[in-house]
Amino acid sequence: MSSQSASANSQFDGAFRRFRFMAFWAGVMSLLLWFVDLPIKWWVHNDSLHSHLVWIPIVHGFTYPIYVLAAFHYCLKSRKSFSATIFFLLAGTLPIASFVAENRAAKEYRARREQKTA
Amino acid sequence: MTTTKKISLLRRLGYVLPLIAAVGLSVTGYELGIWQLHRAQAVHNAAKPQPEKPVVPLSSVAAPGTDLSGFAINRLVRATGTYTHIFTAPNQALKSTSKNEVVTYEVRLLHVAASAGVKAGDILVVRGLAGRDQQTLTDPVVVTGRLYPRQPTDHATGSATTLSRLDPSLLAGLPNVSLYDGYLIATDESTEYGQSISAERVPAPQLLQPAAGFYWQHISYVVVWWLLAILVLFLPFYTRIRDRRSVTASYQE
Repeated sequence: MSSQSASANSQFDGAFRRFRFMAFWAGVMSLLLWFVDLPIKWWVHNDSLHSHLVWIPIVHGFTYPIYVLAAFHYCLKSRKSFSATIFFLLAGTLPIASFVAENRAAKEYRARREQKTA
Repeated sequence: MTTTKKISLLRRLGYVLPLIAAVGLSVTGYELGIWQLHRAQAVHNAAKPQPEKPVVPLSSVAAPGTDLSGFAINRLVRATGTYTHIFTAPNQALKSTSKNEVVTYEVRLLHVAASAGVKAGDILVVRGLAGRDQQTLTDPVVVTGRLYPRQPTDHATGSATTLSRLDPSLLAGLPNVSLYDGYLIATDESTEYGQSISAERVPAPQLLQPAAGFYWQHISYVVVWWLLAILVLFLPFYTRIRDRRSVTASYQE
C-alpha cells in the first residue's frame, strides 16, 4: 500500500469517526428538542419548567453546524453523490434521520474495510 | 438527434440539474436564515419596553372564557363594574424593583356587567398592597390598569380567601362567574362620578420577555441555515472538479 493511499484511508477513518460521533450527538439533541423541549413549550405552558430546558435548543443550534461540517467532510471523503450529501446534511434536523445516516455510513465503512482486507 | 448528441445533452443535464437544485436549496437556506434573524430581532425587541398605547376598554382586547391574546398582554385597559369577592395573594414579588421585595396583594374580583354587544365577565384586579383594613366598595368603580397573563406557579398555600397565584382558573368553582383570562394591576380607580379612590398601589410596569436564551437560539439557527446554504451551493462545483480530476487521473494511468 502506498503512503498516499494509507494517508487517504486514515483521513477517511477520521472523517467517519467524527461523523459517527456527531450523528449520535445531533440525534440525541434532536430527540430532546422534538420530544422534550417543544412539547413542554407549546403544550404544557409552564414557563418555570421551560426555563430549565432553554439550553436544549441553544446547544442543538450551536452544535448542529459541527454536525453539518462533519457530515460534509465525510461525504466528500466517501465520494457521495449530490443527493446523498444533501440527505446526510439535513439528517440532523429530524430526530431519527441522523441515526439512519450513521447506520448507513457504518455499513459502508464496514464494507470498505472488508474490501480492503480481502 | 444522434447518440453522441444525446449523451452530451444528458451529461450537461447531469451537471445543470444538481446546480439548479443546489441554487434552490441555497436560496431556501438563506431565506430560512433571514427568517430566524428576524425572529431573533423580534425576541430582542420584546425584551425592551414598548411605547405605551392608549387606554382601551377591557372588552376590546379580551373576552371572558377565552385565552388572553399576545396583543392584550401589557395593554392599559379600563373596565367598569362592581367588586364581588375579596382575596389576598401572598408572597408576590413586587414588579419593577431591583430588590427582591415580596409583598401581599389585595385582589378583588370585578364583575363587569354586560353592555351592547359585550358579554358580562369577571376579572381579577390587584388593587394594591393588602392592608389591615379593607375598603368597602359596593358601588360601581371604574378601574384602569395593565393586563398581565395568569401566573403559572403557586406562590403560597391557597384557601377560600387566599389565592396561591394570580390565576382566574382558581376561581372556576365560584357560582355565576364568567372569568376573563389573566389579571389586572390597577393603576387608578374612581367612582362612576369621577371621584378618585385611594389605595396603596403597586407598580404595574410592562412585562418584558426574558430574551437572552431565545435570542441566541435563533442566532444559532441563522448560523446553521447559512452554513447549509454555502455548503450546498459549493457542492455541484466540487463534484464537477472531482469528476474532472478522476477522469484526468484515469487517463494518466
